[in-house]
Amino acid sequence: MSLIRRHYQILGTVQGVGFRPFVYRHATDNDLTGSVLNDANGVSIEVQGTEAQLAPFDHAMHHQLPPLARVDHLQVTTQPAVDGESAFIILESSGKADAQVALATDKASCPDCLADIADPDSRYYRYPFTNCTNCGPRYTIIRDLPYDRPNTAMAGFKMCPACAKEYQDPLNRRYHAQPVSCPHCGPQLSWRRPSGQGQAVESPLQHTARQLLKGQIIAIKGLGGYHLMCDATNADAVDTLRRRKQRPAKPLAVMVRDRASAERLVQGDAAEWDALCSLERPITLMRTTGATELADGVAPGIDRLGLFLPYTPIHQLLLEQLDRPLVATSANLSGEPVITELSQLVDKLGHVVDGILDHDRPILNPCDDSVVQVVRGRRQWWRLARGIAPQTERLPEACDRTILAVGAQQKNRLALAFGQRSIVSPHIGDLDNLATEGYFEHTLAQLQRIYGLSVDQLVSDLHQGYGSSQWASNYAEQQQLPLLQVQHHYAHVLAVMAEHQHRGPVLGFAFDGTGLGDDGQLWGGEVLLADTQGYQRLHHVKPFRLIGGEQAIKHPARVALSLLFQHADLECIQASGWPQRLGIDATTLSNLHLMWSKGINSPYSSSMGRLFDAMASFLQLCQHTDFDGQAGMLLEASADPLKQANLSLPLSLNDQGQIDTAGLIHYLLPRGDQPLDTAHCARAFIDGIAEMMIALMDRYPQHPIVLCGGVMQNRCLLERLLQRMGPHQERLMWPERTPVNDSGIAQGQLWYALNHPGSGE
Amino acid sequence: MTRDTKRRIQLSHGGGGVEMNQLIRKLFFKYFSNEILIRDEDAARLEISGPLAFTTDSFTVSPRTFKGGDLGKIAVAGTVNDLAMAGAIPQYLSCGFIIEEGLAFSELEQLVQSMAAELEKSGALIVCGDTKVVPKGTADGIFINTSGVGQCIAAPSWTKLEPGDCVLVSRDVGRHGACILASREGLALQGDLASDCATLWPDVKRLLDAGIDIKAMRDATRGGLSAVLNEWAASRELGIEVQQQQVPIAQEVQGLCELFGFEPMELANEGTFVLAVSADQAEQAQALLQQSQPSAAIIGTVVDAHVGKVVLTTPWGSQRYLELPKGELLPRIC
Ligand SMILES: [Fe+3]
Ligand SMILES: [Mg+2]
Ligand SMILES: [Zn+2]
Ligand SMILES: [Zn+2]
Repeated sequence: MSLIRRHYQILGTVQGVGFRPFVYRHATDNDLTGSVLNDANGVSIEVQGTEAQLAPFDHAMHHQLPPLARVDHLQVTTQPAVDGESAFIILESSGKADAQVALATDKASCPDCLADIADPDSRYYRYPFTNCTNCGPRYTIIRDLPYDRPNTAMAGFKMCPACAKEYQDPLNRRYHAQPVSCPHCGPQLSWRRPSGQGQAVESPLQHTARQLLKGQIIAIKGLGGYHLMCDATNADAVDTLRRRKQRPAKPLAVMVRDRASAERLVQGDAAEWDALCSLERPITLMRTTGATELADGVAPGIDRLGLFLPYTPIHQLLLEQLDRPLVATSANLSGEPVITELSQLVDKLGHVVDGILDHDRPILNPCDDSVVQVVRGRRQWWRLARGIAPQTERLPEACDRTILAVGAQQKNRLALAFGQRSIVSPHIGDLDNLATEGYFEHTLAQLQRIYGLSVDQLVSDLHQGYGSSQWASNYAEQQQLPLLQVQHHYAHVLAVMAEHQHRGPVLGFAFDGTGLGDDGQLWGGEVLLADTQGYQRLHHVKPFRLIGGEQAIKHPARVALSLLFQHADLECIQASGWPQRLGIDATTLSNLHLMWSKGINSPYSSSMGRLFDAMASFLQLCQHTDFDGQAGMLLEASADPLKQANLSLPLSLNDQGQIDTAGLIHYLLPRGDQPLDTAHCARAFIDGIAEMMIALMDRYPQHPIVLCGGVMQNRCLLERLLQRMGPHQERLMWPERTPVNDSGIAQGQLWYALNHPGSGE
Repeated sequence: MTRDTKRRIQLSHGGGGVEMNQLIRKLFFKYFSNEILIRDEDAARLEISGPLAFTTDSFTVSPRTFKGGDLGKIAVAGTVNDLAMAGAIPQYLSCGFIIEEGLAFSELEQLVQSMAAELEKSGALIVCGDTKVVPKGTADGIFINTSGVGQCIAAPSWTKLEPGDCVLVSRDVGRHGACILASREGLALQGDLASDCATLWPDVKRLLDAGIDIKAMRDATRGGLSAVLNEWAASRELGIEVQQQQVPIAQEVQGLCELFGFEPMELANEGTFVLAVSADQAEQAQALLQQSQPSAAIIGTVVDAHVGKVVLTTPWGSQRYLELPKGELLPRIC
């Protein structure tokens, strides 16, 4: 029978995910000869055998991939048969070529590894660093490609003979699992005082559990950084954490042992439970069940809880031991990236923690927890990081240059395009401090080194106050590179188009906080008709002043007053009862009015997000903003229990086509000293926005619909829209893996540059 | 017609004739009187030895009179302070007035009086001057130019800044800018907000007399503390780290900045200076400054890192750049 030889070149997430053992198994099962090779191009396979032997192999390559593998591109060519070949072998990885392999992301412990650590007869019994090719750290431990042990944080750990044997056995689950190790040769836990000084204890894990039970706050080193943890059922512990960390209101995430424990705290539909239990183990925002064992301080005033399950054996063992929910919030200074090094932890949070559960496997790339919510079966990512990012996608067409999109100021991520690939970094954070700026540069340098990239073109936001825009301007000037600028809300729309590789036109609702518009004003309540070539601003919220600029964002009562000033004179407002209700004294009122009338540091804004702030202020839900989205969440918590409001607060289009608040303000103005039904007002406000949006969908029936901007994370609004938009749902372009908040801006910027081929010169 | 409205500056007051002569003798000579000035020569003849500092500035402020000072006071203090900041004894000043026709004589006299009072604080003399009156509408009331010379007894310069040096501020910052803002916009204020407008020579002299080696020194006028620190960091190509908590800011200034959404460290001062000394003299310098202004403080250090930048450490321990003041600050929060 004649021998056939085939060559497979495979691109995608194919390294560090058990791909070569998978190939080896199928090759040897079918008595094929040849070789498999990991290189910087991905995986290269040569197999030789009869047609009958090759067919099942080919089927497996297409249809039976290992769980963590993702093939972006597979090319098969026929080659001349080689005489006398007798075996199938795995070749050593070659050095760096043209890097097209996708960086693998960190994955939660697999069931097999969890079984190992639970098995007293296993050599991995209770070992907190157990992993295999199907699970464990990847991105957070990688220094360079190809993904081989010397290029990872495991370089300093020499495998013991037992581990080496498993590592070298192609039929073993741990074959070439780079972080493989055991209690004899791998990383170890240690207990430390807040000063960072080590303290000998019998079992650091059990010691930690005991301290948590006592109500202490412990920093625990995990996969992508340290967490601050405490007993979520202990009100004193939670309050102490808030006080020491100076974080008065922002909800804290909670880690629970398993789904059954989660069911005691939250409720959800099948899709929400799927998200919570998925391999990525994201923090999943779910509705609370009402009275629970949780301390009130975990998520004050909000009917939602960010919940996640253990994703490393450390967390698994700890949660099993304690069997109670733990607050697990990223260890950082407010606004800074998650801490990955002991020295920083001690420096910055030594005064916050009572002890540290540490380990000696370095974290090379910080990576925060991912955050998702599921609305009527649709996943919406709020933060893309551990488990999912860096995100690599195959571009529809090859790009002849390396483009760097630097993203927004807040919730920054950066995005790169080169060859036929785009990469979006994990969540970086708000670029208003040196630590986050440093993390931005680290992330960029890391991606550039791994893929051997030098940037040819930059894209940034229009706002020159953004740290990212300034960085891009400086870099473009130093390196003499072309720099494109893309309007913020247009970029929001483009981000969703990018995921769908859609070039437009679309009807985009970019309902957001504030971003700089083309006219120098602050936008944020925008209805855009957009394609990749440009956009038309169809409608926007009627502009109002933000009295005192950023001060108005921190103190929503200023926005509320600004809207009142638009509709009534000072005397009328003084007499209305509103200033008292908003907590504004007479002097402050007259000063704010003066600033408003003279326009002193009071720029105009058409932001929808700021209307939410104003509404939360009118309803006395929030007069001081501690975190973004706070107003929206508090309004949601009020509106959610009501299916329908007994009043109507419409946002209508005025004769200039602006989305006008007149109806809303005319309802509120005469009621400054009357009791307001908070729930009905909140419901009517949110429903009013939904109705306005649906009217606009009716008016523009042709194009796909994009919903984006931070306001579009409002679950109440989304649920109402999805429930009421009827046939328009068919043209809804939903972003499955692109955040609609500012985390998506870089993707939008990148898509713009990719569709302007001449712009790189 | 009241007496006051009768007494207004006319174009003839600048015409070189009798009216002008009257103005010079009855007003300027009266208040600025000193031997060199009244000699009334074409130019003042001065005797100074050693290295000299020489500076000039033109002054305009709206409103011209504010809590804590007026245009006259600023016109003297500004130039005297520039000399002091150069390590020079403020000795001789020239003074040029550009007056809009119709300015009340009483206002001019008031301004001249406060100039004279301010001169006494440093002992500097106005030794020559000039007056022009321009037709109504071609100037806004009155502009004053002063130039000054003095003998240098120290040579502070940003070129002497070294890593490890301590940075001090002579008192709480932002008062002048805040005060002008409030009175210009007619804001109702709680508390007592006065400009810091002052002559700084006595403070500088006290430091020098005590043997403080002032490495660099600058008055934090336009652009405030932030501008001075950024200029130093950029020119010297070193970094400056500032502890936000240590920067003295009066409650009233803080309140006003919160109202407006402004940064106190960017507001102008007219009697506040920034200085750098070696670490071992910092405490002593602070104590000497506190003799006149208890709010004087050590606020930061010169460092090797962050070349060309000023880094502010917040009370919570995170760090951010203190940037050069820009025009309009558009919110970056989305
Ligand atoms: Fe945005
Ligand atoms: Mg000057
Ligand atoms: Zn595993
Ligand atoms: Zn081992």
